[in-house]
Amino acid sequence: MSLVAIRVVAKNTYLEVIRDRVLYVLVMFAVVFLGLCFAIGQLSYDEIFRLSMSMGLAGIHICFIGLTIFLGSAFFYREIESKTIYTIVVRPISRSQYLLGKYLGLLAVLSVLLLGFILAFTLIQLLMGLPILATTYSSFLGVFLESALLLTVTFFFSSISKPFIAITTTVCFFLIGHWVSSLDALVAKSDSAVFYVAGNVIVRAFPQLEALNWRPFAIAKVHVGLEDLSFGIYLTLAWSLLFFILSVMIFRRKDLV
Amino acid sequence: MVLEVNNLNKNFRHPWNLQKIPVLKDVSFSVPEKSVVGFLGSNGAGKTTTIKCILGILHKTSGDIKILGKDHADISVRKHIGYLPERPYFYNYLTAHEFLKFYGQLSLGIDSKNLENKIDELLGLVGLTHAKNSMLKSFSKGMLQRIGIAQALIHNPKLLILDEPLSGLDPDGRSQMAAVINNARDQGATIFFSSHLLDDVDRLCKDLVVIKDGQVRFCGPKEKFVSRQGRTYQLFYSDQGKEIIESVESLELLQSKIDSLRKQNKLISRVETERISLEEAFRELNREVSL
Repeated sequence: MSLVAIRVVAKNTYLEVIRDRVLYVLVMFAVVFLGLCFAIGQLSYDEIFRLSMSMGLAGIHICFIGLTIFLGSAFFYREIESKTIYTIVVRPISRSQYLLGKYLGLLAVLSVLLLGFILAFTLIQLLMGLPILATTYSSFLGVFLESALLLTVTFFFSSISKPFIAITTTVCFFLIGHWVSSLDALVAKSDSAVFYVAGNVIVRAFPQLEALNWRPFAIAKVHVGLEDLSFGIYLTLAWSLLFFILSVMIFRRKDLV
Repeated sequence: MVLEVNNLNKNFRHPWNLQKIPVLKDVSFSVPEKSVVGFLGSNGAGKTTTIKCILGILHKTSGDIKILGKDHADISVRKHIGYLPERPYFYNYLTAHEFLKFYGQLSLGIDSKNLENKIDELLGLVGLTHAKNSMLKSFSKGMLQRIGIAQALIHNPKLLILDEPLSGLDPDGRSQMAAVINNARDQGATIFFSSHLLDDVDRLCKDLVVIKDGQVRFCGPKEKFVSRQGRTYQLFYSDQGKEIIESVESLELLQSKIDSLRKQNKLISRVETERISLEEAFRELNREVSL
């Protein structure tokens, strides 16, 4: 019964979100943004491929992460603030199963959106006469893994705060997560004991999201190595699991006022 | 008993100074099998908080809640509960059919063969067959309330908990909702519903639980509540061949009046308790508690 309940909630979440017009307005803006990123790449005198790819992939990354954070926090707002959750949690389903169903449903929506983005990306590449390379597409897996991780982070912050604060803190988490690799390098070179300890605490407290940034591989026209791929999957699973468990622990105790 | 609530307490915390705010204070009552019990109270009395504690939407601070003999937190017991919240908001982008299927599958499992038949039957019962494939975002408030009760009934629950099911409905809508509730009762469900529409409670219930300021003030048959609050007695006696009717305000005054008439050898023909309406009884209780 529990797996059935998770599947039913996931399917319902997928249907509800994928039919929401707000999503399409956001996707439209994202595609326009993506086009602009490519257009900026065209301003280069030489290395048009390199700059266009760099800007285009960064555009997809930012749009997709933005959509992930929006969908994650909107789910909590909609379900709890508008009280649709009441009629679900009184059914034979535990709160952890419900949260897992929601997570999988949103992940399904994100998968469809990513496929759409990849399609749009490919079309823009074709229109601009850029070569279509298989190496480009492996970087999208990194974006998806990062989004799967950040979705659990959004769940966690949404379970303890209002949507605006949850969005803000998740964005900060995302920025720090990309910055910790640089910090790690600085800490290693530092002579200050205080900076060393404090820096190390920060480095350990956040996932190294740069490990999921596989855009340089795409730009260099090489495939992502097995080691990078394995570490990326491990990083995503470990941190997602941690934040999901924390979210469940809070959500189970939460009064749904 | 289908539902037993014993010494239920619920405290909230003040958002700034974290001071305890007791909302429910030793709430105790029980709901017998196959009964229709009205849960009465003014706004802010604690009706919705009690219902949310029973259903596990809110965590109780202390106390004991049993549904069908099992602890209310036991997931298996939820198969037997149907619930319609106050002012329901549902998924806007699902059709009525998808919406009922979702709740049916959650309660009955994905392969329930009878689910499609049950969906059609319920849509007919609540008068929404024509809207089967319409999205809920296009539904009026009355239609949402009707699809809401349909989702509560989709799995043939043994206990149906309805929070203000009749509020905000026009007279036709209220009649239709009352018919659905009666139908559920006829099918063998036990119904516990909160309302501040006393006429409807009077029409639908035989038993009452009355709550005020987070405390249960009455639990039992409606007639007992009404007669308990009905303080006016009419005394009929003969005086020199003429029938005289005298109104007496309390039971004590009635006793002394009867004693006095007997001493005067007056013939007392009968005493009648003037039946006040449920609304008057409820107001009387509120007045008593305030004093």
